[in-house]
Amino acid sequence: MNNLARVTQDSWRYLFSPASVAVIGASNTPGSWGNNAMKGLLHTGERRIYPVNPNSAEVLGRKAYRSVVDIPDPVDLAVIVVAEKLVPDVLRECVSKGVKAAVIITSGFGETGEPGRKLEAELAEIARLGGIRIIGPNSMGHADTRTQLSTFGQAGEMPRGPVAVLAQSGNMCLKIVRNLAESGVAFSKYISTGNEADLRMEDYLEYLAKDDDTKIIAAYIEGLRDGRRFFQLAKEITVRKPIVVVKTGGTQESARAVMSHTGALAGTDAVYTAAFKQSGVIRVEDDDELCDVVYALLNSPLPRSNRVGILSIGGGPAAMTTEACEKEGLAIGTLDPSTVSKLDKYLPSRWPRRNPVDMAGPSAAEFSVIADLLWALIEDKNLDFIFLLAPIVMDRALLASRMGLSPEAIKAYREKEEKNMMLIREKVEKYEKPVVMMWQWRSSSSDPDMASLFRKAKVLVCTNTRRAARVLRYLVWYRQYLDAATGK
Amino acid sequence: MNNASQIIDNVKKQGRAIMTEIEAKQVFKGIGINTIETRLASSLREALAICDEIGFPVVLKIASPDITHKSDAGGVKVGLKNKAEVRKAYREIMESVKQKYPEAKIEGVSVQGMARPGIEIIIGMFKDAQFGPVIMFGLGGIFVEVLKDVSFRLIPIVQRDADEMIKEIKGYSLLQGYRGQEPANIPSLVDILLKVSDFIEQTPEIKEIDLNPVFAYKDSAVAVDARIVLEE
Repeated sequence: MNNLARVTQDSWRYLFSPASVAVIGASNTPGSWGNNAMKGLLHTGERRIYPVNPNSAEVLGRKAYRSVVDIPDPVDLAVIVVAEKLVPDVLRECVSKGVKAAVIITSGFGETGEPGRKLEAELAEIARLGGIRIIGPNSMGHADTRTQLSTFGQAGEMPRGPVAVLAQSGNMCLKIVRNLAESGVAFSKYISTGNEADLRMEDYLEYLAKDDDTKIIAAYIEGLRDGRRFFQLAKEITVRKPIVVVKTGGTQESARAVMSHTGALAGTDAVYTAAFKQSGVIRVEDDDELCDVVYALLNSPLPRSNRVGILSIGGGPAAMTTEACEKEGLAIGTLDPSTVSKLDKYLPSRWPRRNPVDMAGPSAAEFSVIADLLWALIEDKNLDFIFLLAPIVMDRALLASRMGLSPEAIKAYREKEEKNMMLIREKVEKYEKPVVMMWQWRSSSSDPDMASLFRKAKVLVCTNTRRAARVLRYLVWYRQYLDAATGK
Repeated sequence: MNNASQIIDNVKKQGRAIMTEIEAKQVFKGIGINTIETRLASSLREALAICDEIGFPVVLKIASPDITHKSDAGGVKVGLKNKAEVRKAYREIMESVKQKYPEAKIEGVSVQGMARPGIEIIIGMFKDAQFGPVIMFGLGGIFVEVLKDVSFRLIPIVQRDADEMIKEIKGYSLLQGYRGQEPANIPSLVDILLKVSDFIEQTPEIKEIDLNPVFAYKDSAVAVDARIVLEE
């Protein structure tokens, strides 16, 4: 019944912007959860931090308290990392101390079987009666970049950004966060929701719907406790903020793995698929796709429909991309006759006058030629997005070795490239047509200047066109959902 | 709808959860879904009289609230072309059922006209533990049993959902007329899906629905068999 009670704004405030935090189970042992949590909290944000440990006089140079009730000042948030058997009593002490919210990192609850489930139910009951809201148990932590709060044990400044991550697995939460961060994506909040004894996926979603810092929600889901509520919330949210979801438990053994992980009842996977489709939730296959789609949503317009135009430096990449697009259900657009006449001016007379367009020749240095061809495709009303299979940006190492450029010359070259990329960006925005560039994957690039150039230009970059084609398929689907949902 | 709720109340009063085929079809007819009419005959004489009215060929099925798997009980005879065949079938059904289900309460037989064969469709509804009422669409027969070629949507659905769930099945091309076969009338199927969805939204006491099979023709669709289970 606990979750029928709506979470008040106050509880969220204490969870995300506490003035004081007690770390119960704080430890001096490097590498322990109690040590990581302390270090992380001491190194992020400005707030009062109180270690609680009955066996130490101090932890990391701070006076330690025997119990949370011994702390002389009010405590807004408790981070609990004690052994599972002790958690109920610790939580009761939190209630009597007047602690407003808690994150329970400790595991060994519902995910372990019947005794653990009982212990978890006890926590939920203590929380409900005591009016304290909890994240977890079996959570790895939560983070808010606006208040610079992290209970994950990370140190250092967290850049602010528009993406929120919710994950029913702490490891997946951090994997997604790290992967996206490598691509230059920053976050509003990210939460490892754990076993969701009290606060559930649906509660976080409801909160993020109203959170102005959050523009995109990415979630890793194993099972929902109240699917219908998720569905209703998602339906309202996705017309304003995209929700991208990885949902596991779709195969027989993965359903078993999910059950023993967070104890969630997986339910019928096909019904999840239906619910996601009907509520505009972009369901992707795995965390890599999740990151690809989130990156694309942040850096590209949504294509109106599924007709691709392909502009390639040669025949091989064109063939690969054509096949990848077709396999993903995208359509190879038919060039408008006016586009064919435009291209006739720039291409050798033997060019086949159809999509994919093989440039058959111009080198990367001739951006002016590539640009004319690219503009012609972007302007074609029969095409909704473009795959550009040409290296119009070059790696620093390549510029130095192959082209023998000095550092100053590289800088000048980079400036020229940036100008070109900004021209592409203008067209992308004007025509609302995504441009996908085949290149080394954005994150593994050996040259960070290039990655930032791609982001500036709002160009999607890929080494694997099948993967890129899938991203475009998701974007097309979402655009069509939005058009139908908003009556366009 | 009024008619439907009367039937439901009546079934509940009798302490049953599973409706008979006749009751279920009356409910669906009441909400505007085309069904193959099925009428109850409590004697051989009544059965023959119904045949006179609806014409041959007919199907006879055992009518008993205690028997759900009618075919297994030897309680179904199809393609009966004249009165002699109906008499013989009636006797055989009664003997077989008495032998296999001596305790079952027998109301008689249901008499049903034979539907012209069409593309077999299955439309169903069940309640998911997390998401509540879900509507299902698929091709009938081996397509649903072996290939699990079905699509789902949460109730309530709108026209777009119905269109999508029909197009989503792998066997969709069969509905468009395969090798000169008669195509299925998609608007009729959409209409059934929307009516089932509306009905379930207004009737939470229904736990499960099966329209299996529905025959789809080029200009219409008709529910040949129907099942409704109420919440206990």
